[in-house]
Amino acid sequence: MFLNNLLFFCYKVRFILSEHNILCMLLDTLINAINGILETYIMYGKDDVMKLKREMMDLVDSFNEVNKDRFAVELKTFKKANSIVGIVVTVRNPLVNITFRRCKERIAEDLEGLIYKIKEELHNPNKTLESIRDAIKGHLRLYTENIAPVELKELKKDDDKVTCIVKGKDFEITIEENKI
Amino acid sequence: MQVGTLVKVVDSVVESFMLHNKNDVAKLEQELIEVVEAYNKVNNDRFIVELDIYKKGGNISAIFVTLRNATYLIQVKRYREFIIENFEDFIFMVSSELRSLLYNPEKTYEEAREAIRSYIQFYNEYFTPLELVELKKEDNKVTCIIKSSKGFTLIAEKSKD
Repeated sequence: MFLNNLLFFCYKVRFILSEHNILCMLLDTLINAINGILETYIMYGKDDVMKLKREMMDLVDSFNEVNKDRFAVELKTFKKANSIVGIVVTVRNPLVNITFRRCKERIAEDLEGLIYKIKEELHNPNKTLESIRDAIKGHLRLYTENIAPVELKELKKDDDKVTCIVKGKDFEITIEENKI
Repeated sequence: MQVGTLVKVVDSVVESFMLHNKNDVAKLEQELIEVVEAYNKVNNDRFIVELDIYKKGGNISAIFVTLRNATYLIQVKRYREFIIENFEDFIFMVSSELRSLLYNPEKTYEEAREAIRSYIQFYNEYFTPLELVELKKEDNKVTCIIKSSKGFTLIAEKSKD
């Protein structure tokens, strides 16, 4: 009986503190904690994405439990040859969007970024068509895995220009680059 | 000052601007700079502030405030209506017009072209220059060709299955 009363009392105190923002986690604390986890993860070259996701969710859940401005967390990892080259963590609520980016190299996070990467490959005068194809396929794979499906439809080299056609859902993009 | 406080102040400033239909963008920018400077004065993780205002037909459609420092980025977004925020959104809007032109008997070719032109105009204004090369309607297929100043061409196509 005593234990029950004590538990009920604790619950009430916690509820009152939480209602008056006395028992709460500061946004700064959440930000520093996410940043700390990401830093460790990148520094030690860890690859267990599921564990990272779990840690992020636990952290945000514990913030949400004691705060009114509840956040949702989103994790995107960009992999190349099985190792992580970039992590983007976004915590968002209707009011605000907080994004953390840790990238070991520049990655295409949107379609314009992908087009830019392909143009860079086409522009390289020292590369053979095969090596350009492999590099472009690598970029497309990364984009397909993380953002939306795209595929290489055509890559051809004429006398004075290189043309690449990329196919996505409902669209095609033709990228042309003149030889230097 | 805590980051939470900074975010709330920025949000209130933007909300009040939207709610009261204010139009003095320079004043809004000045207010935001002052808030961020006050934060920077007493904190180590200094932010820079960026203000993006998207307008359609002279009216504000959305306001984005971005606060960034070396480790992260905070964005406060307020919308009055949907806006195109990136190239994926642009393609989505063009595809929707093509779908409508293909399946909706009331949608005219002219209407679709005007709508696509307005998306292009918006994209030109806030992102990179695009140009409508062709919009073609056949019996079972619609095609739209758009050229970018950045050296690529977009072909969006819809056909009846």
